[in-house]
Amino acid sequence: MKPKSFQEIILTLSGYWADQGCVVLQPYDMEVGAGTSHPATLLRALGPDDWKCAYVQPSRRPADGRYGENPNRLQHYYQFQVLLKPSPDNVLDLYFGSLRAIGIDPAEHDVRLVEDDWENPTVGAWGLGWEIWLNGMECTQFTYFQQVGGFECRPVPAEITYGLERLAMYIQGVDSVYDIEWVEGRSYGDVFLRNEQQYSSYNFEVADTEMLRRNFDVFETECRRTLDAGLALPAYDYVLKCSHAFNLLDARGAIAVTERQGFIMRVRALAKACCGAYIDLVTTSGESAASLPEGGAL
Amino acid sequence: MTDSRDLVFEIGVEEIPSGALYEATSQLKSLAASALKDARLEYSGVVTFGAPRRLVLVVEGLAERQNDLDMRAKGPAVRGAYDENGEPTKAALGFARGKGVDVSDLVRDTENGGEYVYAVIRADGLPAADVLPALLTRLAAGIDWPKSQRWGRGDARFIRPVRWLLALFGADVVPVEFAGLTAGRVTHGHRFLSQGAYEVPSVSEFFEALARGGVMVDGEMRAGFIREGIEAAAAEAGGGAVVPEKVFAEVVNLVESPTVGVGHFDPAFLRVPREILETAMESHQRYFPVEDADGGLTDAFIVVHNGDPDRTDAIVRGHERVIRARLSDAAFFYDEDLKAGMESWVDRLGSAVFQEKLGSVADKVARVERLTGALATLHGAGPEEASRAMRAAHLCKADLVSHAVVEFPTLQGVMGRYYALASGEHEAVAQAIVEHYLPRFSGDALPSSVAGLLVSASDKLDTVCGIFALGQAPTGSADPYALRRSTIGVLAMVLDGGLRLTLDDAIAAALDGYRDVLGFDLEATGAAVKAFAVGRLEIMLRDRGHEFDTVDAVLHVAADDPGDTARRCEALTAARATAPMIDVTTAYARARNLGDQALGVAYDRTIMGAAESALADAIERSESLVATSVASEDWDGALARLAELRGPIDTFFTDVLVMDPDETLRANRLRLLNRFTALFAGVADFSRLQG
Repeated sequence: MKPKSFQEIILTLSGYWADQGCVVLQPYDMEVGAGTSHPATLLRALGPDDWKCAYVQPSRRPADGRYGENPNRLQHYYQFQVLLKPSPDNVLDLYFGSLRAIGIDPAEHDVRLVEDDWENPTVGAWGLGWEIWLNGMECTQFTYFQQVGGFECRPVPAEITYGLERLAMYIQGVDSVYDIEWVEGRSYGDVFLRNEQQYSSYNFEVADTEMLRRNFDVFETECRRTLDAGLALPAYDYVLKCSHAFNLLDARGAIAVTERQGFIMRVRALAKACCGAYIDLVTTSGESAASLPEGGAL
Repeated sequence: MTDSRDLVFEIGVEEIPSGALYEATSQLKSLAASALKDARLEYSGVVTFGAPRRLVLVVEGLAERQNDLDMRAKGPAVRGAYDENGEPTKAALGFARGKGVDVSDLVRDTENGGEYVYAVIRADGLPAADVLPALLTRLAAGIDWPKSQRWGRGDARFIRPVRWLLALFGADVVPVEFAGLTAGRVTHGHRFLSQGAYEVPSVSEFFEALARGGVMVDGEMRAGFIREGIEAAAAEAGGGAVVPEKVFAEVVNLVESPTVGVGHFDPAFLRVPREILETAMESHQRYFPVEDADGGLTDAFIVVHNGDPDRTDAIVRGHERVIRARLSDAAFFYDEDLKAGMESWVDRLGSAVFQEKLGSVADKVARVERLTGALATLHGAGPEEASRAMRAAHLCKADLVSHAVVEFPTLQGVMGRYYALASGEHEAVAQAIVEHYLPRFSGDALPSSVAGLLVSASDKLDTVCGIFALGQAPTGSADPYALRRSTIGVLAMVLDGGLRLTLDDAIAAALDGYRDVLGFDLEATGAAVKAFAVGRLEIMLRDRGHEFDTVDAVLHVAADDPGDTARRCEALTAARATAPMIDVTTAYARARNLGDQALGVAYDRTIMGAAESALADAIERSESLVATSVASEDWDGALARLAELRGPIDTFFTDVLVMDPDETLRANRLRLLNRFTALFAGVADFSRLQG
């Protein structure tokens, strides 16, 4: 059987998780560094409600650009993200079912779960889980979230993050990300090579650092103002904007070592404030406020 | 023992991290042994096993019943237990309540002449089957994990989610409850290679069920199997496997059904330095590289997989594709690094922080370069050695910003060496770059070249002095900058590596580098660093087998040059094992106790008797000899000269009454003794030697 194309992999995973009862969302319409930052994961991981979702998220890591010259590194790539809250007892079986759906039968491969404890200090989040290795290739990150924004996750969600390009390269047997068949007759390179070249130049050489610094300040102020108005969700958008401004400044080499920690602390403070405001939102308007643990903040 | 059965308790868990699994397997064993003892349950053996998806406890020959409890607990003295009316006091009531007996059941008995009350506690042993569920629950909950997690809606914490429990006492299920589950008789095999669930009729069929399920549950057996497999695979590939123990131990706990396979990569990658290839294979993939008979890396690698043995070929093909991507990445970094050149990296070190208040790595490199020059002078290095050392110091941290080291931080220094050679640096410079990180730990190899010694010592002294100048000297428990290790490293290079330096000069030169960086008290800081270094030196010398008083005696006269200190200790330790030296040391102590330093050493020969004169002759003869030995640092020789005084000093003490009533004679004899003890002062402070 012909291996699945890039878009078939995405469509198959979406269909599979839809069948498991997930809300299949579209990508968040802002620059984020990872699928985890999508509010459907980061914020929905908090609060007492059940929630299952799946979506593709383009992830931007400006510093990872290689001008399209490295076959494995991109400044813009795709993650397929699943969040299941509470984590079902058979969550790993469900995950392995998704691999079968895209043409990888774990019984025919060497599949290992290798300890990988996830931590993102910028958003005060951590969890325990694994990298999942397929014949030695890390193809998925699997995490049981324990805390987000400094708040305990109750119930505990399981987060599954597939590296779509890696999976596709593996399934299709190609050695360069640009050779992935997006759909018959169209390669990943056709779609994105030019973007990688242009954005690498922009990220490393052109981006206006003064503007980015100004923007960071402005976004931070707007985030606080929006929080003061009691609007956690729009406020969170400005956390993402701050993060991306920071990442671009970082790629430009414009952040002195002495400043770095300061920027990270500022983003963290905003993220925690948004998570706190979100919990207030879902527990005051939600029906299951009683099951929220008291004193979630650390 | 009465009737008994075997017990098996299996905690089925999602894949347990390797390190935690080793730890938990041994914890479970000791927890079980002590819990069974506390529960008065006899058994013939406790064994535990760990595999990625399970922890297994087996208790062999576990008694059917607890032993009966029959014990007496001692309470308060009788006169404190009852008042004048014979009524029990609060003390007696409290004691009885605490022991769960009625106060009227307390008995009296005497012990060591005192009369006390006792509580007699008796309980019939319960059937093991009644006791085991709660006992096993406590065991499962009692494992102390480095990190634990919750899952789903539950509140239980474990290393990873618990998915099943099996507990059998003989053929009977022990309904242990833990983490929202109740134990049954079902186990699960290999995640992908088994039928899934297996019903186990009784303990004796448990291991058979696991074997049918494709699980090798005994970690030691897996290790042995994998070890043999690796050796066979390496032989098949025509070489020997490179097997770091840490990677091996992890691999053992990454598989429930191990199979060993051999893959190959494109030999063209062998142009890349082997350390990069090895690191890519080991740290990212947990592959084992294969060496040929000459110790060169080959294009073969060994993989231990968890898949179907029959599909090994296909699985190895998959791994080969993954390693190809990894190695292309590594080769890409290496090639990019070669294009960049080291000098451009030195400038970029300005944006890498060394320590927040002590500036960037570039600042550090500038200091280390100057310090290397100063230490080269102290060492007495030739001009060529000195200039190579300074060049190496200039480049020693450059590779920290190379692609390869950013990707593989453990290759710092190693890559610096390759890049230095590629940029046409002298081999000695390149070697000093990789060696300047040595020694990394106590007992590690030392730099083999003078340049390596100088740069390593400069780098370490710069860190130690900078952190001391910041006022962050190590405390008993906290040494975040590993200053102990750095200091011991410098001293080890002096003691064993041939480096020559004096502490006062070296420390002053290192602190000089911080004059314009920080405000600090130069003298006080220098003294603190020296005291810290001398403290390490003292411990190192004791660890080398020198008596504490030997080290103490030497340090009191020679602490500035650690090499000299060590050589004196060696000579003194050897000398102290000989009879003449033991006697002379005793005589020294006696002379020192009698002596009055205020009298000086100018004795009058004309009023001496024969024994006194003989001693004076011997001392005067020795003085120039000892001085010559001291001047040439011939400590064995100096000590031999001192030991030769045994005869004259013994005769002196036998024949002469030092504390003569005649004050003139007495003073003259004390002056003679002063002159005797003064002879020792150039070697060590003998007054500190004990016996």
